[in-house]
Amino acid sequence: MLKIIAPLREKNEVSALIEAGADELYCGYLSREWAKTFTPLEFERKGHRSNFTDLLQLKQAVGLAHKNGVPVFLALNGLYVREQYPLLLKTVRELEQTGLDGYIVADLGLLLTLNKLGTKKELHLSTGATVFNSRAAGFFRDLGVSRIVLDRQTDFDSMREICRDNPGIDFEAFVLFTLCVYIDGFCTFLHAYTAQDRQEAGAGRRGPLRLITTYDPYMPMDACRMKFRARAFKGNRQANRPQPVFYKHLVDSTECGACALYDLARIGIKAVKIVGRQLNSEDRVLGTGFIRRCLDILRDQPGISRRDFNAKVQERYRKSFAYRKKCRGNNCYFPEVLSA
Amino acid sequence: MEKCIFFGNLRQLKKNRSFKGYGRIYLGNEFCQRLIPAPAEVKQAVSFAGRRKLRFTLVTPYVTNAGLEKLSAILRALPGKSSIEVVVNDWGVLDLVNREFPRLVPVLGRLLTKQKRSPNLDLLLRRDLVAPGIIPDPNNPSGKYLLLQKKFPPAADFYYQGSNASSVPLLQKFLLSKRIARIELDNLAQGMRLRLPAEGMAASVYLPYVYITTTFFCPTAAAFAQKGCLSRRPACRKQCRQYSFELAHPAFAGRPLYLKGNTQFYRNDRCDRGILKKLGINRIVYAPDLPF
Repeated sequence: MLKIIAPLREKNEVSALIEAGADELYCGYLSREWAKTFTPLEFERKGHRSNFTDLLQLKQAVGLAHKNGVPVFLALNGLYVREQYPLLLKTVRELEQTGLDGYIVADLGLLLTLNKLGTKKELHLSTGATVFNSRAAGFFRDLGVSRIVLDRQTDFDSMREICRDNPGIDFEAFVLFTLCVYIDGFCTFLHAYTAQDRQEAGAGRRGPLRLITTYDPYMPMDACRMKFRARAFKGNRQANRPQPVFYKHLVDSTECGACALYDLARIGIKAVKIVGRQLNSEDRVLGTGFIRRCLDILRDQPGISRRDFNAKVQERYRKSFAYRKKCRGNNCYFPEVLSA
Repeated sequence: MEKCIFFGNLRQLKKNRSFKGYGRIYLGNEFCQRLIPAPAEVKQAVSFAGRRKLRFTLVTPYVTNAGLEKLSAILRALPGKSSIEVVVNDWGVLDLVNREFPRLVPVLGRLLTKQKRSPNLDLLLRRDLVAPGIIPDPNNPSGKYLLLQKKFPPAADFYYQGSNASSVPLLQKFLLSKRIARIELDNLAQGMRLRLPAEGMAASVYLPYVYITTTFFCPTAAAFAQKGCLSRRPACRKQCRQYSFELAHPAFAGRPLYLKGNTQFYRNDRCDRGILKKLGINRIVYAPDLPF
């Protein structure tokens, strides 16, 4: 059965996430020293409020999870330059003392550094490391990686082949929240744009006031959600149409890939991750419980047909996330399974 | 400083009139495996370059296993000249080149050199901007902007102007062990900081288009998809060969972004060769068109 990996942000969420069905937890850590020196934006891939900021709290959270037999992994999935290494190494040495079970890394330099330091912790590869084929997976296996998180855009055929060709590694896929149109590890947009209108910004003002973006870690906004004004060109000439379609702009509710649970275990995926450390606690617990109940269907009815599974999952989805429409693919990680 | 010229395909290469001043041709694509040229096309390009006494670099994208197979066929077809380079933008392709084609010279592509390319970073790193507050809208006398700008701390410059491949010694040593002696970089609007090893590793810079982001879900192909079709990978009819898009957003302070196929770029023509040389860059790769 697939493991569920749930996002953890605070010590007091550990029990709720485990009770909701998490088999493993993952979290981030951002030290005050790092935030002050280098900004809180990109120590790892999520922003300021997605992380533990107190090492003792983190240690206690790990201890609590371990009491329940649940491992905790830490996302260290930023990209780092030479000048950051002294503080990065100091942070890693501190983290080594917290009892964490492993690191999720994206940066090849950090991966090599952790190996050099002789860490005994598991090394998982973040989507940020962009593995799309069997050889790339083997490349990282040779560097001591025991699990690879496949990018959201990896299709079933590729997943199947990569899993088949790399029996020595576990593979993980995203299954809920935070669908992105771009490839995680190849997107270099700064995720610190502000909201584009006063309602989103919470300014509550009326009148001709516009926000222009910029760096505000308290209002992170993904560039991938921006609504661009687009002009089409055919060759060098401006054309009236078409308009490019950015997938994520079509999303109208919680992003979900639960129907694909039916396929993922059969393909060889070992674990599914609930994305969204930045979301509030209630949503993360709700999401974890939703995925657990979907997996329970497969456990209790191993012979269930794909069509019946889809119907049950979509019914649960609508109830859990107050979605009234029929699933039509726009919120879906794996729209191909809707027509399966 | 070596000057190179970069084309997406053989047709573009043959259309080019003059190669004066250039020492090397780059051919291929970094962003889409559907655009990997046929082996025969690459062989023709190699011959074309040879006849003009130009060296040759094949540029390759990130790939699935299917793309790896296509690339294998091309690499097998390449002549055994030791000066042929292969720009890799996928660790699996690097593995393929090193294990099966040791006569070819791998170069680390700009997707793997991990620069930070957000198109407003030059604004964010400037220290002379006004403090957060409300400012008049220059284009609208009755309008105002709420400027939320906060200045980055000085140490952030290292991060936003640097990259792991261009600065971290352990990584550079590893790359050298994998026969990577050249890394490809973009001409960042916010400037660059490089700390290359004293020996053995060089850097190239691409002009004038800086890549920002890319996806398997092609917004250009999706523009032509049937209405209501939300398949993640819309059918590709290589519409990117004909169409491109200019994207505008106030976030980027008047700097347009360009969407070509599945990838966004911005343009930066400012380039001081003296500074590039001081940084350790010894090659300029000029792409006359958006690289597709």
